Order: sequence, then structure tokens, then C-alpha cells
Amino acid sequence: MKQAYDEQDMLLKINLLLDNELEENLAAEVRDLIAATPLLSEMYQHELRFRGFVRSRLAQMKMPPSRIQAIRDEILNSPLPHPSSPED
Amino acid sequence: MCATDQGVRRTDLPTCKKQNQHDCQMLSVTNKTNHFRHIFDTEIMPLTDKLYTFAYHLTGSEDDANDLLQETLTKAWRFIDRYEQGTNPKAWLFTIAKNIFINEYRRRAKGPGQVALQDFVAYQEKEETPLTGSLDLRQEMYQYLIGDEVTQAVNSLPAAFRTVILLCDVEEFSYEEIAGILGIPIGTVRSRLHRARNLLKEQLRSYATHMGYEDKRG
Repeated sequence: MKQAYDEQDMLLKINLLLDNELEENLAAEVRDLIAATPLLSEMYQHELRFRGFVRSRLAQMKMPPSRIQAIRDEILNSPLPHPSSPED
Repeated sequence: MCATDQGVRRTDLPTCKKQNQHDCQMLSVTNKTNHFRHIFDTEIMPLTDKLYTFAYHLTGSEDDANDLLQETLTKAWRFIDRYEQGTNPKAWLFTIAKNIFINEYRRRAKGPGQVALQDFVAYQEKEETPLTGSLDLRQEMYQYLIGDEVTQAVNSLPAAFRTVILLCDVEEFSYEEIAGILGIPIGTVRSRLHRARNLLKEQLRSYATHMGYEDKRG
């Protein structure tokens, strides 16, 4: 039986849906189609899991507070150029 | 003008509305400095770890990330009068970081960042090729990979691709914000993200296969 949708197009739309980048009426249509189609539902879950996986496992860098403070102090102790500074 | 140039290209920076510049001119020097310090401390500094993470994945090394972080914060302070309160400080800061990365790091012939930058520039010119995607839903072996391997896979992507993944999937910027940060059309953000995710999936599957993981679901 012929599918009523194009897989590549649906993958794109599912990603747009997950990114909150679809117009509300189109988002509703896509959600309905996903709910009614097991393969699309699986595709949707797959994309959702993939995002969660990357987000949770990608290295998040943390700088020691003392280092942040040192950078901040060094920067804020430099002269601030703005409109009424003598150079203007 | 609200700020002196001090050798930094103004085109590298996001613009702010004239009202903010007008406000700047109405304050005394001391009040202005305190006002700007307050903005810097309350809106910019809390983003340091996010900026550091972005810088790390952009440059591919902790040392370069440190340099990029410091240069970005220094530039943000230098042009703090151009920061418009009420706008997205993270987008403002990330735009500065991206511009420094492109303008400064392209001149440095060291480390993987240099190669990545060439990728970044090259991919700007071939965005409009037809979309392709991987629909093989069975292969999720990458779920066994640990954080180091995922980080390595992301960092091995061309800079243009890992940047959109970081901005969208990690930092949760909208396409419009990403377009603003990267200076590309929204349509390009969309197509680049699509390719980036597919590339990353392939990379993760390749890592998983290399490490001997198999898809048990057949």
C-alpha cells in the first residue's frame, strides 16, 4: 500500500516540530499524522531520544569560580570606553 | 558614538538601538560605569560556563576555549554600551564569540580549530544541495556510547555543522536567533541542522560499531 506521506519530508517536519519551528496549524496536522501512523510515531520518538541523548552526554564545561572571578576583575579593571570618555 | 573603537571591528558586534546610546549619554561617567558593571555582572557573567562550553566545542581545545572566552568577555565589556537591555544576552555573547572565532582563529595556524574553520567557510557556499536523510530507525547502538565519545563525535563534525547542533539542540536557540548569531538565512539554518543531525548520527553509529556495539533489535 502506498504511503500517504513522503518519509524525508516527514523527518524534516518532525524535526521542525521538535524545534518549535512549525506554524501552529501545520504543527497540529503533523501531530495528528504522527499519532495516526506507527512508523511516524517511532520516527518522532527516535528523534526525541536522539536529542536527549546528545544533550545529556555532550561535555558541559565548567570553569572554577576563582578563575571566573579573576577574569571578571581583570576585565572590569580595564578602562571603559564609552561616549563621555576623554577620547571622544 | 557610544564607544571608542580600540582596534576592534564594529561589524563584529551586534548593533543596539539608538535609544540605548541616548540613555548612555544622559548618565554621568561614574553612574554609567556602575550601570555597565551591573549589566556585565548580572547578565553577562552568569553565562560564562555556557560560553566556555560553546567555545570548547568551537575550538576543540580547552586552551583555545579559555582564550576565546576571555577575548569574548573582554570585547563584551568594551562594547557594553551597545548591549541593549531586554535582548537575549546569550545570543549577543555567542555572536561576539562566533565572530572572534572566525576573525581571529582563521589567522592562527594551530590545532584542529584551523581545519574546522576551513570547513566552516567552505560549507557556507554549498548549503543548497538537496536534502538527504537517514531513516534507519533500527540503529540506535549509539545509546551505549559514553559522554567522551559523544563529545568527540560532535567535535569531529565540520564547524559549520557542530555549531548549529550546539546552538539548537544544546543551547535551544530558535532558528531566527541562530540565523542572527551565524549571519545566515533561516532556510540555511534549517537545512544545515538537518544535515548536521544526520552526520552526527552516522558518526555515532560509526563509533558504536567500531567499539563493537551491535543493534540487538535486528
